[in-house]
Amino acid sequence: MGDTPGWDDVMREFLLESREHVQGIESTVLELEAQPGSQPLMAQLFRALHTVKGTCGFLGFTRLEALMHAAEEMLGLARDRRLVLDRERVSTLLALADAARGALEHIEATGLEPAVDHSALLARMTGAATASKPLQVPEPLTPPGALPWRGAATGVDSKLRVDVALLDRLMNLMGELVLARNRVLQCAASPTPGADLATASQRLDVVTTQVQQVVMKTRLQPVGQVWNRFPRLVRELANGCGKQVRLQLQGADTELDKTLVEALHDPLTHLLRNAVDHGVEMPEQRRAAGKPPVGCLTLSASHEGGLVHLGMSDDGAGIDVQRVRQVAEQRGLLTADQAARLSDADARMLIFLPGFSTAERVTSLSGRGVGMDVVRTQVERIGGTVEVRSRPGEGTTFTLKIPLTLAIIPALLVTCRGDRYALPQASLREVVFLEPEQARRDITRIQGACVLRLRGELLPLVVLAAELGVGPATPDLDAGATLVVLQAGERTFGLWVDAIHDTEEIVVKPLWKHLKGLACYAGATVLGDGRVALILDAMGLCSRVGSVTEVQAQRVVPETAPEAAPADENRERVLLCRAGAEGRVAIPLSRVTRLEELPASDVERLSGGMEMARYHGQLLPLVRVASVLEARPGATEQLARNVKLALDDSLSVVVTTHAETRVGLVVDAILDVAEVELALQRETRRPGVLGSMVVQSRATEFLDVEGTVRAVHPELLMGGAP
Amino acid sequence: MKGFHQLCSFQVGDQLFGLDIERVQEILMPPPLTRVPGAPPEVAGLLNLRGQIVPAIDLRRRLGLPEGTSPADAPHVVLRGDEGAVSFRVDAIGDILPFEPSALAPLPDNLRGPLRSLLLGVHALPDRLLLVLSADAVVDGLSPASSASAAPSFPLRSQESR
Repeated sequence: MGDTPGWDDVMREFLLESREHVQGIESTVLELEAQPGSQPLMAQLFRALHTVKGTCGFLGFTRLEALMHAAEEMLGLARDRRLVLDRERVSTLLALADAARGALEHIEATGLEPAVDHSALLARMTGAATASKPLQVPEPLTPPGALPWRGAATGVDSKLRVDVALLDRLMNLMGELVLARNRVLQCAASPTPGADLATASQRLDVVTTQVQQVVMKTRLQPVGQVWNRFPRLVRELANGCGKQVRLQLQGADTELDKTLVEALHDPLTHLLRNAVDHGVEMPEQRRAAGKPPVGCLTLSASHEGGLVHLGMSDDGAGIDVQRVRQVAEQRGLLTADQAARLSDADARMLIFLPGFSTAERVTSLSGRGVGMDVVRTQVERIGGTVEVRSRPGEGTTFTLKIPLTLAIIPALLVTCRGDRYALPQASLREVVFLEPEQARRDITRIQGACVLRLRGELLPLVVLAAELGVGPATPDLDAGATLVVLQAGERTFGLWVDAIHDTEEIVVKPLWKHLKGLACYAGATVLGDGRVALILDAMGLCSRVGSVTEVQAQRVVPETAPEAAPADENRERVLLCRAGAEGRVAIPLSRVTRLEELPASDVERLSGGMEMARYHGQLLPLVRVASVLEARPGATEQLARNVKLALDDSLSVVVTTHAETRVGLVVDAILDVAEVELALQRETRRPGVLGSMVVQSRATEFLDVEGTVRAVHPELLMGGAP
Repeated sequence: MKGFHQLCSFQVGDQLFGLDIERVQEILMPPPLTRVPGAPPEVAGLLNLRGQIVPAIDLRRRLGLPEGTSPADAPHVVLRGDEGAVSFRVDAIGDILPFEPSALAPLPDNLRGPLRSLLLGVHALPDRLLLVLSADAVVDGLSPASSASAAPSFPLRSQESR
C-alpha cells in the first residue's frame, strides 16, 4: 500500500487533518463540560468525530475507526438526553483524544496503527452507551505531571502556518529587492556613480525595511497557540488536587514572535500549576470565605507600549506575605530583622528565589520550590520581566512583560576604549552626562565601588572598561562622565562608558559556543560599516553590581553571580566608618540611602542639644554616632562641643531612612565598603551596637542603626520595637 | 578514509603547519577584527564574513608557540565547521601540497606540551617537516570562556604585548 504513488501525500494530509480534529475534539469536550447540553457544541463534536472515523475507515485504520464510532454512539445518547456528560464521561472522551493522538503519532512513525489494546476505553464508552448508568470502575486518569500529550507537540512546532497573502507580498518585495540590487550594482560599476547611487541605495533601504516588516509578520503567531493546551492541563491539575477551577482566556489572538510563543510555554505551565496548587483554595474553604466554589483562573494577553503583557491571575487566597517572611527566615535567607524590614512587595519577590517554597508538603505538582525560580529565569532569558501582585483573600496576579521579538532590536551604540558596543534599548532608561564639576560632586567612590547621587537616590555605577578588563576601575572624574542608566529586572544601575553614539537597529546573532559563558554579552551584531560589535547584556552586567543599592529587595533576591561564594546569604555589604577616636563601625549598606558631605554651617542646634541640618529644603535630624557609642551622660554637651570644633569643617553624613523619615548619621570619616560574613560576637552590650566582628583584620562594631537613632531622637521611631 | 588528500599549508612562527584542504573554506587577507574582552586569550576576535559573524583564533597562542610579532598582514584561514565557520590567524599562507595519509609519521615521543594533542602527525617534506593539525582538536579543545574570567586584571593591553 505504501508504494502507491501519491500515498505519502494522502498520509500527510490525513495526519495533519486528523491532528487538528483531535485538538478540536479535546477543546469542544472541555467547552461542553462548561456548557452541558449545548447543541452547537454537540454538532461540532459529532462532525469532528465523524470525519476522523471516515478517513480512518478509508485508510484501513480500523481500531481508531472503532474508537471514534463508540464515541459517536455515546455522544448520540447524550444528544438524545439519555445520558449526561458528567465528569467521568468527559474524562473518557479526553482519554479518547489522547488515544487518538498516540495512534496518529505511531502511524506517522511507522505507517501502521499501534497494536494498543483499547478495549478498556471502548468498554468505558460502550458501557456508558448501553447501560446509561454511572461507570463502576473508571480507568484511572493519567497522573498530572506526566500528561502524555505534552510531548506530542514537539514534532509539529518546527512548522509554521503563514497567510498566503503575506507570502505573496513577500514574493513581490523580493522581486523589488532584486531590481534594487541590480540598480545598485550597475551604479557601482559606472565610472561616475554620483546621484544615481544615492537614489538606488535609498530604494534599497525602503525595500529592505518592508521585507523586514513582512518577514517579522510571518513569524508572529497568536499566543493562543500556546494556550490551546492549557484548559485540559488546568482541568487535570484541578482534578489531581480535588479542586474546581475554570480557566478563562482573554486576548488569545495577540500576536507574538514564534520563538517567544514557544519560550513561554514552560513558564506559563509553571504559573498555572502554581495557581491551581497554591492559589486556588479547596471548594469548602472557598465557600467558607464566601466565594463561589469554582475557582477562576484568567490568562490574558495584550500589547502595551511595544511589549506584550501576559497576565495570569487567580481569585484564590493570595500570597501570605507573613508566611513568606517566616519561611525565608527559617531557611536562613534573611535574618529576622531583615525579614521584618522587608516591604510586602519585596517579600513577595522572595518566591522567585531558587528552592523557595512555602508548601508544607511536596505534592506531585509543586512544593519543591523549583517552579517560580524557573519562571523568572526563563522569562528574563527572553528579555522579559515578571511582576507579582497579591491581595490576601482576593487572589494573585502575575504579569509577564515580554518584548515583541528577539531577532531585530533597536540598540544604542556606545564606545569603550575605542571599541563599539550595542546596548539593547529595552533595558535603557536614560542617558546622563556629567560635566567634570558635576561628576566630582555627585559621584562618590567608596573604594572599588562608584555611586552616583541622582535625584536624591544612590545609583550604583558599573564602569564598563573595568568590567571588560580594558580600563581602570575608577575612571578620571576630571574628564566628566557619560552614563547610561540601565534597568535589569528590578535593578537600576548606571553604566559608565566613554562615549555614546547613534541608535541603530541591529540583528542579534548568537555568540560562538566558546564565548557563551561571558555574561556581559548577549550576542554580537554586524554594524552598518561592516564591523562586528558585541551586544552588552544589562542582566549580566547587573550581576556585577553586587548590592550597592538602597533597595533591599536587591540584596534579598541576589542575581546568580557565578563567582559569588555559596554562603552568600550570610554575607552583607557594609559601609565602614570611623566614629570617635579609634572606633570603627560598620553600617549595613542596605540601610544607607545617601552619603553626604554637609557644610557644618548648615547645621542648626535646637534646644536640648538636638541637631538638624538644612538638607534639600528640609530639616534632616542628625545623630552623632560617636557620642551615642561613647554613651557619655553628657552626650549633648559633647555634641555642642563637637559642633563648635567642627564649625569650619564639613560633616560626613550617612543618610538613612526610617519609615518616612530620613535621619543623618554623623561619622568622622567614611572609610570603605566591605563584604562581611555576618558572624557577630554579641557579648558587647553597648547602646547602638549590635555586636562586633573582625573586618579587614580590625575589630569593628556593627552599628544598630535603629538603636542609635533612638538614643538621640526617640520621637522619630514612634511605634518601633523597644 | 580517502587514499589521497591535499593539505593547505601555512606558517606560524618558524613552523610549517598543514590542514586538510576539505575543511578549508577560504583564505582571508587581514580582516578587521573586533576584540572580545574577557574571552580566552586564544580568541583573536570576531570578524564579519559576508554578514556571518566568525570567531577568529590566534593560532600562535592556541598552539602554545612562543609569543612573537605577527606580521601586520597576517592572513586568516577560514574553516568550515558544524556550527559555522571558524577562522585561524596565521603568519603566512604556503602552498597546497599533495598528501598521502600513509606518509603521515607518528609524533616524535619527545614532543610534549599542548601542541601534541592538536596534531594528527608529522609529514616529512623533502626539505622540512610539516605538522598536520587536527582542526577539530584546535577548535573544540579551546577552554570555554566563563564569566569568572570575564574581567581579567587590568590592563589587558600589556598582556597582549607580552
